[in-house]
Amino acid sequence: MAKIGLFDRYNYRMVLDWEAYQQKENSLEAKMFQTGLTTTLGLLKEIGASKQTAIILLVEKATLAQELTTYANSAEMVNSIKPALEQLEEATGALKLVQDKDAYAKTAQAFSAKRKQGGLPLDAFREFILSHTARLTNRLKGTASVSEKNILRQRKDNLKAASERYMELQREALGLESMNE
Amino acid sequence: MATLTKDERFKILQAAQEAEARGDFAEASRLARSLPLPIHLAEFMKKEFGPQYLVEGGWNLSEIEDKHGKDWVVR
Repeated sequence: MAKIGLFDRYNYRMVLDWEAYQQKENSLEAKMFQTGLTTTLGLLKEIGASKQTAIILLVEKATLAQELTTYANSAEMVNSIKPALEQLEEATGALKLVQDKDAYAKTAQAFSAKRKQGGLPLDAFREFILSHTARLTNRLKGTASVSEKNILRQRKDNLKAASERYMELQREALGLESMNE
Repeated sequence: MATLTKDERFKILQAAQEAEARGDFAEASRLARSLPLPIHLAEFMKKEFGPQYLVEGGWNLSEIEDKHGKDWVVR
């Protein structure tokens, strides 16, 4: 027999942990959790389709705040969520500003051409969407259940919807032609 | 407010899920509000929407009040 030393113990630990995981996943409580997530996914889809940017941001804020106080179990995770919440606050500020045409037009002048895309400033809102989308993409690479990943994917889709709506608001504020016309 | 047993809490979850499935969101919301509001969500809601939101919303504040006192919401 091959001498595998401590790996033999690791091997049977894997067997036991997998067995316990399977039992947990098949419990009534775990099934209830998965069903609940499917319902939540439906609601997130509805929110994304509404394109209500402020609501999409609020959902992200509440979700991140929950993740920070409950699931964040490593310094790496805390150091990812905290900046996300800070950026989200800045994005909320930008969302208010873009609705004031004069103020936003003046602010836009301070952006160099390099910090613009199609004439639209890559401001705090746009930066938040870019970096937070990347954060959620990284989490999709990790281990999580299909239902949890569906939620992450929908959160990304909702950020995209919010971004599209925000770009329309930017165009309106700057008097640029709408992409829908 | 009487403390709910694990069994009672599970039954509330089930009933809320069933209400959602038949589109009765008012009933699902009522059932959700009968569960003790998790401390982190109570803190988030108070900070984000103010104490009135919690008081008028009829949330079950037993957990946060056990931790921080009966006057937590108006403090």
